[in-house]
Amino acid sequence: MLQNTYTNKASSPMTLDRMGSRYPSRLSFSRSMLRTMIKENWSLTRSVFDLDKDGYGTAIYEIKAEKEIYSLVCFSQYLADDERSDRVIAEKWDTAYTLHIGQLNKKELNRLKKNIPLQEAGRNSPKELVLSRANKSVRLFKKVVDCLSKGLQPNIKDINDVGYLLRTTAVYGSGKFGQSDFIRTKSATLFDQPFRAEMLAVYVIREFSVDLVEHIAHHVNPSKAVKLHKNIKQHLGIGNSTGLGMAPFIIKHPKLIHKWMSQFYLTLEKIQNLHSIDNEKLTHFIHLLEKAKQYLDEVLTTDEFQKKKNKESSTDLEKIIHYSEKLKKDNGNKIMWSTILEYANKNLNFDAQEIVNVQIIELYPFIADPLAEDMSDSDDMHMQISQNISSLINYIEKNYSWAIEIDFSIKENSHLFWYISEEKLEPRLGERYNENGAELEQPLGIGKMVKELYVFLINHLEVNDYTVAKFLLNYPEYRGIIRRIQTLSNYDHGEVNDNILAKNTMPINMLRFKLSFFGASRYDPKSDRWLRVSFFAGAPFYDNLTHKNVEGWGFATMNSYHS
Amino acid sequence: MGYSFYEVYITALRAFSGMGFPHGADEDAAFIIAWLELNNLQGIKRFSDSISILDNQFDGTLNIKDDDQEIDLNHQSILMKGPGIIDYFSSLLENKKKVKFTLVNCSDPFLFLPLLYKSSSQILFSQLFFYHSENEINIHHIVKKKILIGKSNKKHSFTQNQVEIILSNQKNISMIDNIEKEITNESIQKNLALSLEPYKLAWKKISKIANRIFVPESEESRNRGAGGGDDND
Repeated sequence: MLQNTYTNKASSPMTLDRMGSRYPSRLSFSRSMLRTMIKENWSLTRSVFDLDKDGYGTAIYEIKAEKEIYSLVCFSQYLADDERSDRVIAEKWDTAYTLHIGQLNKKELNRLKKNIPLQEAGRNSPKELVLSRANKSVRLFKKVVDCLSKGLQPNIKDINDVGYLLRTTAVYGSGKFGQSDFIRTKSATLFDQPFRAEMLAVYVIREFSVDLVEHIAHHVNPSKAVKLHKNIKQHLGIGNSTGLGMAPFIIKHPKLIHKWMSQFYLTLEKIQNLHSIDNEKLTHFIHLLEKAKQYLDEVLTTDEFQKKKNKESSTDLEKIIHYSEKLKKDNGNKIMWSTILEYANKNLNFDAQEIVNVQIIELYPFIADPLAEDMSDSDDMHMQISQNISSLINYIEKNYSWAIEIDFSIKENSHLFWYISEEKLEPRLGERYNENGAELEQPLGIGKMVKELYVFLINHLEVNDYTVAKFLLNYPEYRGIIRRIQTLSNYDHGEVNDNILAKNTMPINMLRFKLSFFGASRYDPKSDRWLRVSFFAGAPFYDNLTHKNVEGWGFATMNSYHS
Repeated sequence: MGYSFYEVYITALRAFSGMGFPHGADEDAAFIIAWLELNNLQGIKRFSDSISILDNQFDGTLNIKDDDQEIDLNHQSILMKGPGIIDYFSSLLENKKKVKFTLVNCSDPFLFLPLLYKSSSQILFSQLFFYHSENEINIHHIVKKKILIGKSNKKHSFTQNQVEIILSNQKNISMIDNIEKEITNESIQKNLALSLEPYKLAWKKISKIANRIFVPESEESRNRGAGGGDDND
């Protein structure tokens, strides 16, 4: 049997097609970071801006948060067009960054100057929380410099076509290249939630992107140059190119993934348990759906599959808008969210269903926002050593039916293998029957590993009464997969319910899943293995950020801004 | 040069995998090494010193009969056998309040410490004893993510390479005469704030073995991977 013909997975939100249909919500890390910034009154100051007329040099932004200070250090350098690459194997970038704990002294700055522009080839210390780099969007950056230097504003349509001035090609944290381990970051800094430090860095890099373009424009024509208009500026996000590196994260951190998903569904569940929706809420909901529809109609992608998806989702949003309007007219204040969700689940595609979910969540900050502050979980996996093997078999049959139904002897079902590339130590996908290296496969094909264990157990009835501990004395090769199965027995959303080794796997679905929790928008796939997105598109810049506008900027459209 | 805990763990994990440890066994062994390194107990050096008995020689099986209280490790590494031993004897606590067992021909018993530390989230109290000199034994007390390391200055019957482990769900009385080191959450956080500095030559050796698991990227993968396309858009 080939993948996509399972009978029991239709309702699971952890299948690849559903994972690849997700959108950012109030629970996303960019949203919760910005909310925290406002709530806790963090301040952002540009303390150093030592750039030459071409924009090359060093800038430092200091973030004062409670009693702590963090410094986002930016290094900008000349890069020839033929050296510019989004690939992780690149060795030079237009700009490079680190988020450092504390204020910088001269010695520390010199250390960072030597190391940060080298990125993976440099070394960091536990004082660094984030390491990143970004390249210019050549077409937009030059266009904006040109306009501003002539005293003109760029057309918002041009901004919308690209979406960003700078595009990050990696954002590393959590112990990578010598940086602070998350177990320390969590305890010693304010960043106790996953990816919050990374999101702060990305937000400040966006600030730098505008400061940089305005600085260069000013030096081109000091007497005429103007700054970007607030409304045009706000439509700019910070770009990001993302590849396969993100996918194994989802397999390797199942408890964390479960946490993110369970918080999302807990939010929806709590909302559904509320009394009926009042007219004002429903009107607001319809408005949010209209905004999302407008966003889908405006957002640009060159990928035909994504274009089709966006078009279908826009059409489906029209359906739910009409349905909600009719409900509003016919039923006044007696409508329940469950009615709307049921309609959505029956009549809309996965993308539109997800938009309905996130826009409902948008209406209930008092439910969603506290849950967004609890998105962390440990990676520890524990064995239930006293469980007996027959009980383990039951677990497998109950929780992994999607896996044990797959026939892995069919080549299409084990076509792919995941490996670590020699060039940059990054995860990659190979084709098992066409490429070398399958013997060095990474243990990410969970479905296949579960199936192998299951087949072994049902063919060795003599071990059925053994405890897991006793079984492993004889068969230690099953240690990893048994620990995983047992740990996740109570984590419904921890496992991707699909065979990620199948020929028809679209890894990009896993990337989009993770990116949605980060808060990325403007999905622009470039192949089945990488895509470009934007962060903070539509979010107010720091100088304009208030309690009033810190929310509500998702699904930004060209007419979202008012003077 | 300093490294993060993550880097030490991931490098050790890749090295164990490169030496033929199966999935799961490689994670446990890497945890042992990284944890020892984090707590200044020379994890990477210990790993490096054991390469000759580990490389392509993985054997995690153990022939333990139900009433066995003594296991002859025959100098095979705890990095291969240790997790199975601790799991097995811990599982006996289901029906007993206390389990005591002895290991003979056991080299480098320090490698049990990280396993007992990890188990301390489920086992109330454990102790690790092994030979130090004719008049001293090394003692380790492990309770709820806390370890006391010291010695007992009494005549004893331990022989070299003999180890005794007690796992208990009852409180025990400390028998440490001189506490030489404490490992706690605080000490771990303190060490995380500094870089880990593994012994250089050993790190180099382990990193080289870790390289075995890398695969040269194919042209197909390169073309479809991130950045394949126009980067000057």
